[in-house]
Amino acid sequence: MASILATRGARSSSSSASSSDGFAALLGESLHALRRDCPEAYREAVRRLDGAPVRVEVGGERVLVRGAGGAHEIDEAAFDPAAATLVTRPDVLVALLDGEARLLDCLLDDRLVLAGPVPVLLRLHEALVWYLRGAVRSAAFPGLLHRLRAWSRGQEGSHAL
Amino acid sequence: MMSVAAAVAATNQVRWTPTPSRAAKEWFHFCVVTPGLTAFCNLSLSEGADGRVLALARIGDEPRWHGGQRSHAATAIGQRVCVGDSFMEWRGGRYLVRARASGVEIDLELVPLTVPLVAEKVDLAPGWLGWVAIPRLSASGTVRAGGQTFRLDAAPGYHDHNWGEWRWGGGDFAWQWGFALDDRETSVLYSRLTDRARCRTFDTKVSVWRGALLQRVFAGRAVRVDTVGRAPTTGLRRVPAVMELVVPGEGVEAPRSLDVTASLGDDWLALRYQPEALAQVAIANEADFGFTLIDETSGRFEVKGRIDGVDLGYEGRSLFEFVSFE
Repeated sequence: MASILATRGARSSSSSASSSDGFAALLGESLHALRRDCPEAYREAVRRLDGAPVRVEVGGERVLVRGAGGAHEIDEAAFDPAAATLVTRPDVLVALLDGEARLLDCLLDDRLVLAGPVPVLLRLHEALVWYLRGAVRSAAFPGLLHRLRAWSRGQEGSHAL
Repeated sequence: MMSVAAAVAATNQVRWTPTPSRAAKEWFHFCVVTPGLTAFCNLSLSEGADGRVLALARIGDEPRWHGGQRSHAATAIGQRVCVGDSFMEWRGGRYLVRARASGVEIDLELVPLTVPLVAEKVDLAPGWLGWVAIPRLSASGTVRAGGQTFRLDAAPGYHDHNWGEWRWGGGDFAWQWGFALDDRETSVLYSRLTDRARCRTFDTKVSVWRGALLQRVFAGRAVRVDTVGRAPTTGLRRVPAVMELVVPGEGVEAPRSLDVTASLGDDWLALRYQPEALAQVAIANEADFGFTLIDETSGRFEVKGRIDGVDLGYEGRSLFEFVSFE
């Protein structure tokens, strides 16, 4: 049974079910880095996820990400209802970050699946834009991206959505 | 008479000293243009010990650039700048350059053939910029790109060096520059500094060298700049690659055609440039959450004119740069 990793504000706990470089762990670490290095972008991203939990599935890892009280929460069990879901493969995620694939193309050919009511998807899009605006201004992200690539290579062969 | 090497050594030193200032910046830009290949690299230093290497190459008539940008730790000791395993060094009257990024490998020795053009403490309101440009160097060595190796022997090269203190997105400025070299002795450099909206022009110059020496500078009202349309975006790439995802839209500053005309007394010059390949370097602004976009283009130029009673007329390939904001 998956244990729960809940991260809120400065309080965080690790999970025995989390690989240190799994998708969920890297996502959590990146949000902490964003809050530290670019707090304004972090606030704007988290604010848009407040009341709109998003289930994210990448490479067989499933997490529920939400904003609450100006901080983020990541729930690895992801049993709670989600307002929207985002499903993709690790190699597609890396291709997007490396500029080798375009978001619209991935959506149109189902390499990336987004589902949810349009107002929630618009909030998710805005949250992603703020996350990325902060990410490119944080010194921690090149290292995180390097680790994401390494994790993605380790996931090759398990490419079913 | 001072040699070209002595003139370069006297004016173009590495300025970098480690500083906590986020505003401090410095970079070194080297270009080569030879039949079948246009390539350039840029080694840049920013706050702390961070550096970036940009290396791009365009093969033949391809509408796109190969290569990309990488970040590494950087050091500057004397006249040698290292960014990861890339470096630039001024030694023995020549530049030694090695750049590695995203499959493009540049190893060149470049000997300056013209005296530099120097601009110090250009006001960027707020901030300032220093600039040294050497429009013609003799470049020898190798460039590897797209699985091919190009050997250069005394190919035409260009170098500029920028340094100063400003925050990206913090000042109301934008720039354009480009060069046009004939195959013998005429070197033309176009440079323009404007506000972001291109409504106010702070400085425009067309500088012409004959051989090693600066022969004529057209400036201010002696120069007219006209642009038409937008450069073709086929093959447009953003650098670094993640900016494809981060920067919205396909905004491009580079025009489909740039026409620069200059006249002073009996001297005149007309330069037309048309981009064929475009890569856009995106820099996250420090002053806001926007982006500074630098269009790096490879294209064709044509130069006509008459200076000191001598007619000019030549054409070729070159690189021009256009800055805008998102």
